[in-house]
Amino acid sequence: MHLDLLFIQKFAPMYAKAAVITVQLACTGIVMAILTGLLVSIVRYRKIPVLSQLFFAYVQLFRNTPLLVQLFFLYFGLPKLGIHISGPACAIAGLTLLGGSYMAEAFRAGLSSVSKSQIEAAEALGFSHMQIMRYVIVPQALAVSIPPLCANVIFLIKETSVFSVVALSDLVYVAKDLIGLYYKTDEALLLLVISYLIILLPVSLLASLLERRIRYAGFGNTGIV
Amino acid sequence: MFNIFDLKKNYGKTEVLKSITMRIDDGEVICIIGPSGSGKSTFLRCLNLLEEPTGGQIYYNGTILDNKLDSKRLRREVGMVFQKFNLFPMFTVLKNVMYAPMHVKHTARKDAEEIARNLLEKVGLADKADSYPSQLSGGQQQRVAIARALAMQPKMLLFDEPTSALDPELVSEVLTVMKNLRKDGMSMVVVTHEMGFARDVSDRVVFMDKGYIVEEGLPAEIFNHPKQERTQQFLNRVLGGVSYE
Repeated sequence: MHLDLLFIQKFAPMYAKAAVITVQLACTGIVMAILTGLLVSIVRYRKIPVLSQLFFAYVQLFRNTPLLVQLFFLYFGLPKLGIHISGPACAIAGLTLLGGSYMAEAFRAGLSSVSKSQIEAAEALGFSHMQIMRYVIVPQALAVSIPPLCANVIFLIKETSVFSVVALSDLVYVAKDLIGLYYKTDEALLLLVISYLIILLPVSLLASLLERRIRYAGFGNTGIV
Repeated sequence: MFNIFDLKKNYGKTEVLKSITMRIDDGEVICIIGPSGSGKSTFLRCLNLLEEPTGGQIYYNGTILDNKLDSKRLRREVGMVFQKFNLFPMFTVLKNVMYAPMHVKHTARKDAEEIARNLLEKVGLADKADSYPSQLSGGQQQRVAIARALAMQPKMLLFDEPTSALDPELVSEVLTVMKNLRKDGMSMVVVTHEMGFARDVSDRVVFMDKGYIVEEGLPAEIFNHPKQERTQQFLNRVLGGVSYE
């Protein structure tokens, strides 16, 4: 195999630009997914009637359909119902909805790990329901939720690779474009792989660091919790 | 402080409290004794509304407790110590004690810390302020739990079998703290299996069985001259025939 280094040199900046777009969309989508997940999991945890069932249906719908199909629906389906959404908005909405359903499950695992005796202790001290949620349950639940949350973040960043279907000039779009124009398949794909690695490796590293900190600093526990 | 009339508590068809009527005065130390399943803990938990009574009335300082809105105000004045301590595992000892004053009473951090450090001193754990609960023995954890309850400056403390989860050699350190509280004039209601403590420290002993108060009176009366046969039987069993005369 002979790589055209000149090609790589020439088009690397295009990838960098696309990477910035990918990261921006991913970050926005992930932050919104986390907020959505928190809201959904708390509503489900508190068993708020109607909303709780509605959110359950939402989680099942989005956890069990691929992002690609969800984007098709948002980008090509909704306009038929008279709702027009731009490409970037579709991408963020898709990532938020998909991510929200995954994050909700991660938070639910954390919430249900907090024992009833903790809640009683807080009640007996005069905390209100909202305060118990905020000051007692959520901090403990987060510790349990961090590992699945990190896994979800990495998963969601990888899912951005389908954004090109809604006409966004993300990394995959650039690679496909260059292949179409110059037939430099090897070089274009190599740049694509490297771009994703540059984005994801630091995230993975950060995630494992965070997990280890939680596990070992674990509230004074010396061993594995 | 408390006036309780015909208090009932059912779980489905199981009647745990059948009819409890009693009064608890300011500054009193009351020990509730009785066999397992007699409803002692349930009764105690009704006093700060951790359990919602299914019948009867509880008056606290003259006001009837009949809705959830009362519970927050009540719990600021009536603290509780649990059998299994229930400390917040993610916080240091100091933060465990400071947490409720800061968030429930909105005490300034500096003041809350001062209160917390004084209380830790009082229960003999000033040097453990920066430890986590998991690094402490059961006896130490229970003393932190007492400090945590005291940080809200309650008028009364409820103890739900505070020494039942402890190794025997750790029981006395917790009881010593409780005896000191008594000296300070704290009102206490203690569900306990520590007969020595009930006899020596309480103003009044209440014997419960099967959801009723069978007998109550001065410790000397209950332990030396129980009037009811069931009290007699229970005391014979737990004291193993040892007389306290």
